[in-house]
Formats: sequence, C-alpha cells, structure tokens
Amino acid sequence: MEHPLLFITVILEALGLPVPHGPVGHGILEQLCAPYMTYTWLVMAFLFIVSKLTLSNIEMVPGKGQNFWEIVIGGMDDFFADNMGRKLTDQFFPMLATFALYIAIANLIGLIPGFMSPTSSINTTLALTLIVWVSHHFIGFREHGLSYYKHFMGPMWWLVPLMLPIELISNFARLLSLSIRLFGNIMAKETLLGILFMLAGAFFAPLPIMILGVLVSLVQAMVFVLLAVVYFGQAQEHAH
Amino acid sequence: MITMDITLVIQIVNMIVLMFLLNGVLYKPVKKILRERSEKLQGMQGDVAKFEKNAQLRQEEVDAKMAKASAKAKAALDAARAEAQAAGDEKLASIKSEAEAYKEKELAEINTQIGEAQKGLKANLDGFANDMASKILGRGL
Repeated sequence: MEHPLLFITVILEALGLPVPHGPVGHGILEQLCAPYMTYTWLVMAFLFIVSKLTLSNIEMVPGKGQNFWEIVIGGMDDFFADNMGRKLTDQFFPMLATFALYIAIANLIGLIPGFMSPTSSINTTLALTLIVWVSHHFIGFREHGLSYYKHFMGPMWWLVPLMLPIELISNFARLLSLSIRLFGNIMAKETLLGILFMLAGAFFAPLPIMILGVLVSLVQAMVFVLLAVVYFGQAQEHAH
Repeated sequence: MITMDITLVIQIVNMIVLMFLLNGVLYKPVKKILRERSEKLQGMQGDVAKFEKNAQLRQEEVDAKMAKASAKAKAALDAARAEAQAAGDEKLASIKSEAEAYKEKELAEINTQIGEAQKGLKANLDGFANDMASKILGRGL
C-alpha cells in the first residue's frame, strides 16, 4: 500500500533520491529507498541511540532507564531460560531479544502518523523468519549430528512413509506461518488505519483500531519470539 | 503486495547488524550488571549468614556462662545455708546440753536441800511430838 505521507520518503524525495511509487521498486537504489527499508534503519537507529543514551552510565543502583532495560532484558532472559534451557539462552539471547525489540518497535511506529511499520513488508518478516528457521536447524544438527533426521521420522518405523512428508511439510510451513502471520497482521493494521484516516480521520475513526493496533503489535512480537523459542527448544530436544 | 527481492537479503544483513549493535550497547552491559548484582547479593547473603552464626555462637556462649554462674551461685547459697544450719544445730546442741547440765545441777541441789530439810525435820520430830503431846495433855511428859 502506498502511504499518503511518510516523512522519510518526503525527505528522500526532496534530496532527489528515487523513491518507489508503488509496492515494488525498480533498480537497487529505488529498492533501498523503499519505505520499509528506510523505516527499518530508523528503528535500528532508534534502538541503538535509545539504549546508548539510557545506558550511558551503568550503576549498581539503577536509574530509570537502566531499570527499564534490566526489567525487559532480565524478564526475557528468564523466559528464554525457562523454555529452552540456560545454554541455548546464553547463545541465542542477542538474536531473540533483538527480534523481540525490533518487531515490537517496528509494529508500534506504524501507529504514529507519518511513520510506517517495516514489518508490513514480507521482505522484512521473511528475513527474520529465515534467520530463525536456519538457526533452529543449525541447533538441531549441532545437538544431534546426523541423527537429527529422527526428528522427522515419527515415533515408529512403519509410520515413516506417512510421518516424513507431514513433518517436512510442517517444518517448511514454519517459514510461511512465521513470516505471513506477522506480515499479514501488521499489513492489515496499516491498511485499515490508512483507509480509516482517509475516510474519516477528522472524526477519530481510526482511534479504536489504533488501540487494537497497540495490542496486536505487542502480541505479534511476543508470538514471533515465543514460536522461535519453541522451535529452538524442540530442535534441541531428543526425538521421541 | 507479496513481492520478494534483494531487500530480503539486505534485511537479513540489517538484522544481523542490529544483533551485534544491541549486543554491544544493550545486552552485554545490562547482563553484566545483573550478574554482578546477583553475585554481590550472594556475597552479602553469605556475610549475613556469617554474622547470624556469630551472633548465635555469642548467644550460646552467654547462655552457657549464665548457666554456669547461676549454678555457681546456687552451690554457694546451698553451702552457706548448710553451714548456717550446721552452726545453728551445734549451737542449739550446746545450749541444750548446758541447760541439761544446769538442770541436773539444780535438781541435785534441790534434792540435797530436801534431804537436809527432811533430816532436820526428822531430828526435830521427837521434840515436836513431845511439845504436841504436852500441849494436848496440858502437862509435860
């Protein structure tokens, strides 16, 4: 969907850079200037700068910013450790926590007029999903070696012809389910908000959807990370 | 609008870059301070346990000393009481024996006096009898 007013796009256009006027850009520069790319960099910069500013001086007795981050990071750390063990948490915490923070912020900025959610593009969500998918197979092979194939064989040998295709399909379906769930939810939210703004923005028509949008944004971030944690945990477990 | 292009790869790179950036400025420092705090807290808990143990040992020492002192005091009191009792008994016995001796002596003296009086009376018995008879008769015998 083409957004009516995105301030980064306006700035880029003023600078004379080619901004795509449609869902797809033609040529590498136009693709790099696509709103979901520029707003991804905005979210990255936001996360980096905010964490840098709030954690400029770390103390044993925390201030407000440090306290917030300690609750968020400590909470995520405990949650991951409960669900997939301490070892995997220590190894994959940066990845999962980055996904949680990035998706939450990327979903939420779409609620502010002039911004858009980078997660309303399949390229963004599929990128995240591919990282999770490759990582969980990496964990599986690292933990079990070649006997990782047993995860796809089902509980009994004579069920293999039935279970192997099902397991393979369900495993590849993770790529679709993770990426399209996030993309679909956020794109629907963005599209609905855009339409309601255009139809009756002056009468606060988008307000209920915005309230719902806050919930959806946080829930989708949580669901994505929760599923990633579950996949990691399953890959680490022994095949039944 | 499901279109996939080269930005997919760029987004993967973006995410990996963000992971490293946030790991450096956010996760590592916060996890470090959380770990340090929990270590410090554990150390403090160790100190608290040590102090509590010391306090308990002191209390036990004081209790033991108190028990010892009170046992000592009780023994001293019992000894003094027994001594006083013994001294009192001795004194009482001596007074009793003294009183007994005095009583014996007085009794003997009284007996002697009675004997003497009896003897004297016996000696004068004839004279009395004569006097009485003469008085009754109105003449001398």
